[in-house]
Amino acid sequence: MDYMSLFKDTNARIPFSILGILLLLGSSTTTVVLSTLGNERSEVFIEIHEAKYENVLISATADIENIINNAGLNAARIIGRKPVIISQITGLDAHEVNLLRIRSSIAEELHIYLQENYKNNMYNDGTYALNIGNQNDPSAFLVSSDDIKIEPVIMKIHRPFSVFLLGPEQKKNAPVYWKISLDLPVMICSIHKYERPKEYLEVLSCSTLITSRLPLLENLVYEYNQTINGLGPFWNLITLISNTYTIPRGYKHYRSGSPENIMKNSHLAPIINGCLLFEEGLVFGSVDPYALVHLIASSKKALSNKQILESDIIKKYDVTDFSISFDEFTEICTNIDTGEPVNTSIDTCPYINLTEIAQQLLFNWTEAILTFENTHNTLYQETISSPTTDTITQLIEEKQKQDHTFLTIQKGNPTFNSTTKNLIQDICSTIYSAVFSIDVQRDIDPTIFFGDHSGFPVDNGTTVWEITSITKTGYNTKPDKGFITPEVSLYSEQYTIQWERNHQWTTKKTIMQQNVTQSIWETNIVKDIKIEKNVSFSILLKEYGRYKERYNDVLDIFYRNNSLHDTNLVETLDVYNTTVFQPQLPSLYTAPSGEYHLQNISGDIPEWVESEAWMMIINLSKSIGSITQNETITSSKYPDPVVLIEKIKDDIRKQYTALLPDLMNHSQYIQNNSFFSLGKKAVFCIREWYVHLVETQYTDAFNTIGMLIDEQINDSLSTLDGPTKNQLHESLNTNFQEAIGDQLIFHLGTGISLESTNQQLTSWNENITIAVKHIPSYLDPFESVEYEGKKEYFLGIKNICALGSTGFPLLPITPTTPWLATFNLWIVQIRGSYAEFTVFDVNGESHPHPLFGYEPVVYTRKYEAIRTDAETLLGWNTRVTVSCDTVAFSLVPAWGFMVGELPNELIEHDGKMIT
Amino acid sequence: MNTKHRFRKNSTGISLLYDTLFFLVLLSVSSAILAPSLYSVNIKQTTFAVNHQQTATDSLQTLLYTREDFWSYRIGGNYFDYLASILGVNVTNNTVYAITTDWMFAREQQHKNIAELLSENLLSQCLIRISKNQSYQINCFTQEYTQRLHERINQRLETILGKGYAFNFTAIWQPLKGIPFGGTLSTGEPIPNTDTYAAQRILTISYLPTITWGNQSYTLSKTTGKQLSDQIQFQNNRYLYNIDELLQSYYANGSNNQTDLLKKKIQENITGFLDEFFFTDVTTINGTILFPGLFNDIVDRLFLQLLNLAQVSLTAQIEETIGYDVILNNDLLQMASSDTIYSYLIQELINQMTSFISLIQNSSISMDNEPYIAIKNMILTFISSQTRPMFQELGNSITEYVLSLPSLVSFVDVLFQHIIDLFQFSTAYVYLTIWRTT
Repeated sequence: MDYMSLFKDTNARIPFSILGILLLLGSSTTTVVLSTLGNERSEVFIEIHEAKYENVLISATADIENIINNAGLNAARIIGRKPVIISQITGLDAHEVNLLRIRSSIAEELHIYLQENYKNNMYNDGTYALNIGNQNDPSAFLVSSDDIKIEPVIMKIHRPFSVFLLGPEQKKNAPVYWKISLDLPVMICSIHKYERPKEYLEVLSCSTLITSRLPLLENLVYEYNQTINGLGPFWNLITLISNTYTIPRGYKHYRSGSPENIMKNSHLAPIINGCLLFEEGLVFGSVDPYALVHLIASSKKALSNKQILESDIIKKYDVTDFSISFDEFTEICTNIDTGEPVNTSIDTCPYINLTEIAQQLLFNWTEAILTFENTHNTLYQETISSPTTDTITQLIEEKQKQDHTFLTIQKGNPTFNSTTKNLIQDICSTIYSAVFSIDVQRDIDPTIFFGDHSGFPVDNGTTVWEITSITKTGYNTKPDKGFITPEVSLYSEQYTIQWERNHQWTTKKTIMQQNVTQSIWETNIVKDIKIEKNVSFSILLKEYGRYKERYNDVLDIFYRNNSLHDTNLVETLDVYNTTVFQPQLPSLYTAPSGEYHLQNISGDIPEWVESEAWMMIINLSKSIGSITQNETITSSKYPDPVVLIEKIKDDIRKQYTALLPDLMNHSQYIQNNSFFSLGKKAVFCIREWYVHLVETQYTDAFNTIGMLIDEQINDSLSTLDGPTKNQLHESLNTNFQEAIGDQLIFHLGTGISLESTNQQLTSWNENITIAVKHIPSYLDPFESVEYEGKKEYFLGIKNICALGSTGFPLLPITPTTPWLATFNLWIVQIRGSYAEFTVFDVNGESHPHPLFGYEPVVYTRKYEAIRTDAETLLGWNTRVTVSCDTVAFSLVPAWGFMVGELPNELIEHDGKMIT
Repeated sequence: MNTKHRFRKNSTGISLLYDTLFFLVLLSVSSAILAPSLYSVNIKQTTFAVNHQQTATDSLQTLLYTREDFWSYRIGGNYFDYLASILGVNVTNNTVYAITTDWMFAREQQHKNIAELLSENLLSQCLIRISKNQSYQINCFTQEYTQRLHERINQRLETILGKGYAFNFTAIWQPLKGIPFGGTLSTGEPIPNTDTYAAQRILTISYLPTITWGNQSYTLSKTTGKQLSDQIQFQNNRYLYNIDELLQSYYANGSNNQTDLLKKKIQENITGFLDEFFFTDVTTINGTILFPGLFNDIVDRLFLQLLNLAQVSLTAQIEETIGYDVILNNDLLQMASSDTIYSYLIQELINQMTSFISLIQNSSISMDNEPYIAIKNMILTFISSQTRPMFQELGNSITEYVLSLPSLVSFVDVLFQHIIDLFQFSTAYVYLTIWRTT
């Protein structure tokens, strides 16, 4: 009954148990619903996160950029080995053709790989697949080369070392990489099971660096080719070195007659190869080691005429020894050629002294003795009297026509230079003279006694005064020592002179005559008397011992200097007195005051004066002859002969100026501005004349030499197409020693720094090390090299001795002193090429290689027609060539062995044809 | 008053107590049921899983496409180290040795990303898979490359993922599906059986073999492979000729009791053709070569290069491989001048391969004459034997497919469609699996 009460209960009371059951059911339902909702939310969450297709877009972009890079590297591999240098495609230059090849190659390869991995949902991340192409026709999609953009990445090259004018610039901007940009249409579709099929069209903007530094290699090879052609750094270097080579050899030839062949192609060949390697080292930072080994071997062979094995060189030399001393081409080769020990020191420059100029003023060589060697190797001499440049040259040419070899020329039969002798006498005569005059001084207030004329008041004039008596009242002799100066009376006489004249006086008188009164004049003539007292007649010294601006400057003039055995013009006073004064004195009695009879009287020149003057000049010539050019002024420092001469002139002038006090030796002649004696003055003036004459002579001589050399250079260069005179001088005036030192040092491989020039992007710096290899490694003009089945010379050297076997005598001073220096000049023409010239990027080996992983980026220049796979001619690859013309000089003093080549070696041509 | 009595008379009090207690029990049970649903473990786990997955994807992306501005390895570096250690050089502490070998044999790349380095490494490994857990890299020149790349990837992933994750990175390039040859690079820990998160990427390998036959070059790819079957008269091959006859007979006579035997014959002929196509040469009934064996040609090229390297002069070796810097060191010069360097490397390669051959065949081979040819043939034989089950399976599959067709079709076309499907010369797969460390 109680249980039924629940339903009957009207109190609306619900048992807790029912509530609990309801609660249990509700919580179970809620749990089920919430769990279901949670699972659904998780799946939605995953879908939301996986629905982003950017992931696949990003990874595909990166992957395609990698494909582009690989395609670009493959293209670079082909272009590097077969670049087009001369284009055959109309409207496109070689650079554009190569870029077109790269674009085409990238497009072709990219197309293939895109077809492989980017079709049929192949490329996916499990949610989205990325297919190449467009919605309309994905299979028809083609990558067009026109859509590929290439732009160079410019970086700043910083070479490890550089030599001004002798190499390329140390810093420059150059393309290093290529940057490729390409837009690709892609279609992205969902492939996830929870995703509704959707398609998204996107454009992939791919932009990547081609990790090959081929553009830089190409640029550097181009720069190297420019460097070794025309008037580039190679020309500067070869001009410098060939000149520093010929000058000491010429001087050695002048001294000893050997080497007979001054400019030898056998020496030029290693020099040229050395210069090429030097430029190679500067441009690329490294050189072809085989070329270096070959160069060393060839240099040794050229210098020693012994075969040197390259393997010996390799074993012998340490890394630091891979250098060639330039001395080997100047001193060593010259000593070897002259048969002297290799280590014998040799003047690297013709030391010019003033002996020639100093002595040629003293002596005449009336003969020139020329030594020849006939065809039977017998020496004989020919003598030319009163030689001139023309007669000497004529004889040498005649002998050379008979195949006789001219060896040397010597001076013969010296005589005193009569011109100089006369000049010395003239100077002495001029100095040994004095100028005198007669000075008349009258009584300015003479006493006049008029005659008595009383009654005759009218003065009717007089006659002229006439001397009636002369009475010598006294005389004076020359002043004491120390008081004889110009305008001083050296001798005088005093007189009293009486004069008379008729003086007419008149008077008027009136007389009656015939009743006519007449006036008449009566005359009374009386004698007037005038007495002059102290009328003086003096020998006045006007001047003495004049030579140019020097006069009146001798101690105790007109007094004999017994200690010096010098008359000091004493006798001239007597001469004047006896020859002028006394004879002229009567005529001067009546002369008014004044100076009369100015006359130069030559004195007696003591014998010792001239002889002392000669001895003094001879001694001076020796002193002056001891002035030689500074040893630091060498041809290696100043290879330009014009500049060399100018430097020598300046140096000698300085030395001469410094020596002047000794040369003049004033103290021996002068004290307190007065000469000890007139003879001393004469000697001094002759000394002064000689010293200044030598100075003038050598200044003129050097100026003339410079001018003549300049003319010869100009004439020789006019036959060449290449350098102008200014360019040659500019090249030669580079300070050679400062530039490259004593040695050509070859750095085998040093990195070149590359700095980013893009300020906007994060910059990066890197290094590149380049290996160089060329075929042939050594350009040999003497042996042909077989290349691709054909024997060929890869270097041609032609050296022409432009001024003949005797050279060009400079500065004909007098007919009997033919020249001061001999000058010769060689025109050197160089033509060559490398069959193959290859550079490797050895720390950027980015080209994949199936065996080694990677291989270096390579750029090769060789002669080759470049064709497409379809055999269409694109153009040609060409060889790296070397071409330049230059001149070298030799300058030696006169006489000795004249500088030049043997007649049959005036033109030396080896190897490749040079037109 | 009355109320008091009713209270005392009321007998429901005990019932109420029981009711209340029962209610409380049910309330507790309800709470126990409802509580887990209020705390959603599922969503949290999903969130973590998605984040881990994203980490794997992002890490792989970061790893592959981050540029390595400077990267280098030495050609045959391991072997030179070994040689030097025999000669008494302390290869780990000798700076001169390190600089010299780096200078001579280093390969340096600039600005390449890991993906490029990896794809190029896989291409150069020439790796033969002996078993599931054992493989051998034939190309000893790039072993240091593989080793350094392995270390670098390991290092990079440790940096990217930090200490919270363990990882397994595996890159596989198998140019022909099912043929155990290609390249593999794997680093990290073995994948555990716990929760892991994997990311996968396809790497394009810039490699498509080109075979020149006659005056024609054939690039083997999915898109161009069809040209091969169109231009070469493969139907003249003895196996395909047999198959053609069998099929014609089959379709002419209809199915009979001999179907199993027919299938077996067709399958055997397909296997024979595949063996010729990949390993030996495809020949006609008369023995004329129609087309060179594909794999034979690929491996041949590799060994041809080795052969050339061993035989060409020192100059050419230097020219083609390491440039000209080699002559700068006297010690090395002496080595180089007697061809020691490469002759050693080549000899070491032969030794390695000999031990490899011994490993896989329990026998040795004579290296007296033409060692390269002998090694090459042994390698091909090994790979061929490893591949045969796959060929048989493929043969079965093709046979089943062809026989299921209602009428006779061009069998060559069908066969080559399946062969082309095996080509994946330009595709490598990269996997990164990560998991939380405890």
